[in-house]
Amino acid sequence: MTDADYEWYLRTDLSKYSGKWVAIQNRAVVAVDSNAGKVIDKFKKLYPKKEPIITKINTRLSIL
Amino acid sequence: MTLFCKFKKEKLDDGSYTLRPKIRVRLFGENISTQIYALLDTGCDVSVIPKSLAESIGIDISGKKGELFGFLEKTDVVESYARIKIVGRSKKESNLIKIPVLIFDNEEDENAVIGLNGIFDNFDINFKKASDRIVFKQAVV
Repeated sequence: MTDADYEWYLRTDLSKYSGKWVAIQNRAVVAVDSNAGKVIDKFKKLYPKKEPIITKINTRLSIL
Repeated sequence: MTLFCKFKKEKLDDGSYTLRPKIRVRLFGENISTQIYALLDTGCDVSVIPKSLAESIGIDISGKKGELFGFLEKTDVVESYARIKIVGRSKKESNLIKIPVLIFDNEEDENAVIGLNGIFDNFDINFKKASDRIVFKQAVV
């Protein structure tokens, strides 16, 4: 686990992935999907030995 | 133990920005663990995760069925539990805790939210938006 990816996430505008789940690795978005399970599957194909880092990008003004 | 997280500045559809308490959580399933940067929502009684995520990492989805009521809407859910750690800055992690989660199946609008139950029982949490900090202190119970 690296803090670099978390710090990169905090300062990066990811709004172009609105409505999608993204997986992050080495300060970059490496997988995108509307389905959380699928984005984990895509990540694991790219990085079988790494722990996925995922988040949902929400650009709507929200009440959940 | 004290952990520090930050608010995430997010751009909205209308071009404005908002600061959201998106915290870093390690979620442990029977298959794998994953890190999620998820919204910490004090208006949500229970943490919520999508079915696809639960299935992917190996969280039991065979529990009791129920309903989750939100603002102007209702969602069918399954009750379950998850083992998580809160991850602060500098890779500092909380102890492993078990929290109740509700699992929902809506492929068109999946999201994950960290709610009150299990989280606010284990931590005293201080939201300091003006100084861009969320402080977690392991509660003494």
